Amino acid sequence: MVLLVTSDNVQFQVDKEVVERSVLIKNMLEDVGESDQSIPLANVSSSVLKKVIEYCEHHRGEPLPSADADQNQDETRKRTTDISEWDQKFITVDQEMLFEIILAANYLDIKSLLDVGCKTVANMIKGKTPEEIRRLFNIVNDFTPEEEAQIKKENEWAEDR
Amino acid sequence: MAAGFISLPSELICHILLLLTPKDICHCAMTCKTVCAAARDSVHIQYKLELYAQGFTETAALDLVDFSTKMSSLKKLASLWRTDFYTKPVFEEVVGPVNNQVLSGKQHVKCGLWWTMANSNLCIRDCNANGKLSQTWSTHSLTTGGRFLKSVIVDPLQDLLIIVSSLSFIVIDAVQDYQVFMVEFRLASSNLPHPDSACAFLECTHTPDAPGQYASYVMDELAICGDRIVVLYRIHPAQDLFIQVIDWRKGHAKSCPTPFIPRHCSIAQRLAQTLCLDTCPC
Repeated sequence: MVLLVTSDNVQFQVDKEVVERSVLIKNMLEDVGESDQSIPLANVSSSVLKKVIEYCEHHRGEPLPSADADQNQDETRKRTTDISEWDQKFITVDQEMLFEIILAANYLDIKSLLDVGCKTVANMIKGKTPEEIRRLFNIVNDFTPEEEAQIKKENEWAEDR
Repeated sequence: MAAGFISLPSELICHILLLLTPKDICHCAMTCKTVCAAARDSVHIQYKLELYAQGFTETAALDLVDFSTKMSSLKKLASLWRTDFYTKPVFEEVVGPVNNQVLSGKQHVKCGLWWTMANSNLCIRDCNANGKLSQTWSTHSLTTGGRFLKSVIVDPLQDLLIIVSSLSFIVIDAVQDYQVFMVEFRLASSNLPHPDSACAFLECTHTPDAPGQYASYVMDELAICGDRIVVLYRIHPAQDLFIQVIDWRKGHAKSCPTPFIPRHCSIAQRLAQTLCLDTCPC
């Protein structure tokens, strides 16, 4: 078992096999060797880590993407934004949690979870107008009217295809 | 601050944008300065948009896009992200107007960027910005050393420099493959090996018909189209022309049949374009 401590000082006891889906932690454990010391995760809160562990538990035992397979996987990953049923259910959370999970997956280096998160965001964006995307993510339009006209002109080419 | 789309680090924003279609990417870029800057500064996103504008789409069949549509997309692309993308840190040095006397080399224009080799420097200028945005990249190492002929081509849009060195070889067994030229993939801005390429250089082979002593001669007209490079070469003393299409990202080469012998450069260029389209996976 490995002891993880979150940013809000909550301790999690997790199976080594589960926690090693995180490349960051896997490398840490390899560097440190057998030790009872806890691993502090200053960038991850307990509510987010709970979700991340749930994901890792479910995918326990699945082969980790190796560096070799990376190239081919990259190709298919870029072409499709399909998400498996369990992952879909898992990632149905509010927006803030979704982005927290993406940040945590990036920090902990869990590639498959990062992909699920990013695909989910991509699916939310698909087919929307800029104004709809702003509303979706609470984005403030910080262009001046002149800049916006310019940007619009620069992007016209993609519209009529 | 609560986590949100635009509070993500820009590499994660780009990671998400790369999952989208070019149209969706543009819509995102139009929402605010943060996303716009992230998309503009990502070579991968710019590359994807460039391929799309050239007619390399992942969904539409290429035959359905006619030539004039492709051309007009290219022209439109000239204004794409033009505001300040090309003044980003990949350019190290700003120079004054280029002296006309040094312009002996061939001049190129692509997507609104003009460039030429002058005094072993690569001069780049943004055609849409009154000549203010001029840059030079030093390419000193290209002019020194080397026993063999070298052909060089640059694509500033992809920060890509291709160097093809011809080799001479003696054929004893005609069935075997012989190394005919070597291709190097470098960053145009720094002359270092290009990080997006699977290998720093590639040895290209050719199978001659009969034993003898040969030398390959790479025609000056190399062409880059997206991730494909087309090399047109002759094997002396025979007069036949051969073509190899190289995927510089994956680092492999493929020989292509020559449907006819191009007599001058513009035909070679067009042939190259055709080949690129034919070999593009979609």
